[in-house]
Amino acid sequence: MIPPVGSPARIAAIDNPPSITVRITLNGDSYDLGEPMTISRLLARLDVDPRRVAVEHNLVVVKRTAYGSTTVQAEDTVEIVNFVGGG
Amino acid sequence: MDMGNDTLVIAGKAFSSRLIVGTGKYASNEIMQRAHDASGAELVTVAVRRVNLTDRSRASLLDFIDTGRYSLLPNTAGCYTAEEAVRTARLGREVGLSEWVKLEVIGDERTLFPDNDGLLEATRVLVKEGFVVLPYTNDDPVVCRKLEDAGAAAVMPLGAPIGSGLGIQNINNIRIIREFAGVPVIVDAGVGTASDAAIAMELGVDGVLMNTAIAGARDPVAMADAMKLAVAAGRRAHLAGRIAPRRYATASSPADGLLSA
Repeated sequence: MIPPVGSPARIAAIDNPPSITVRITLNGDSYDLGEPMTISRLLARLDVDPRRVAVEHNLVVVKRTAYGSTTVQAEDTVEIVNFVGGG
Repeated sequence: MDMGNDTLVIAGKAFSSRLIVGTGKYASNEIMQRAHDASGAELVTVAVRRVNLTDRSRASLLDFIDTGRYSLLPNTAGCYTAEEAVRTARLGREVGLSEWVKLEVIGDERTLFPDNDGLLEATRVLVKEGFVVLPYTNDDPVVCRKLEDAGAAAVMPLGAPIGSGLGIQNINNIRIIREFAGVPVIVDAGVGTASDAAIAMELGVDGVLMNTAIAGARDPVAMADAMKLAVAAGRRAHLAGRIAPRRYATASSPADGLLSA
């Protein structure tokens, strides 16, 4: 039900539209997912080969076999790492 | 001497090469690949870092390492606390699907010397989680013994600061560490040139780990070959048993039968 024009509820609805952003922290930066999604989908969207990386979700390492069943939500922290040259 | 069976065994895994090399600082992945080949190494270190999500064009390091030929040893370089190192080790295990970790907990930015307390703490945690922990440590026999007691699969004392190329700074300590240790001793860091690697091996250590000495050489592929020969030569000299050093000459030719006698 839409509140009547000029009512406090109507004004509040205009001032604070329902959020469609799902903001996470991805590799230290703020990132908008748009909607909650699995790690598998996130990696596909980022064009990252899942076999070459490891993923940490809210400080817990996610096993590769769990990428499809682990959902990233708003406010979550995700780290995606790989191997680089080092000594 | 038959060197066929002279293998380096760490945590039950045998290596015919006693040289462990890094993958950092190479001018190109192709040069790294050729240097690895020339080094004869079977174990190579890698670092764990965030994926660059804005530039996906860069080739993956793993495209240049034949994991059928080389085992990977992820490091925790750049970690300054036990907590960070443990987190990094867990991620490295997931990328490489191996329990092996070169554990670094750094205590000082300028020298990159290890933080003994953090290193011991992280070693205990990771050993409990089933990791094969190879800690990069000070050239301190007491710290090395504590790491071994904590379950380290090898101890890796520094020869000199990382990337310094100064050579083995405390020969006596390295010798004592080898004497005390019940696990393999790998001199990690400080090697500058082939003779440094040979000296380390002559002291009786089980292997040498290096990155900059090869990657930073004018010709990394040729230096990798030199290091392979130096490690092998030092090892053979150690096994052959050197003569005792002495202050004065002892003639190599007989004193009898000289014309003037």
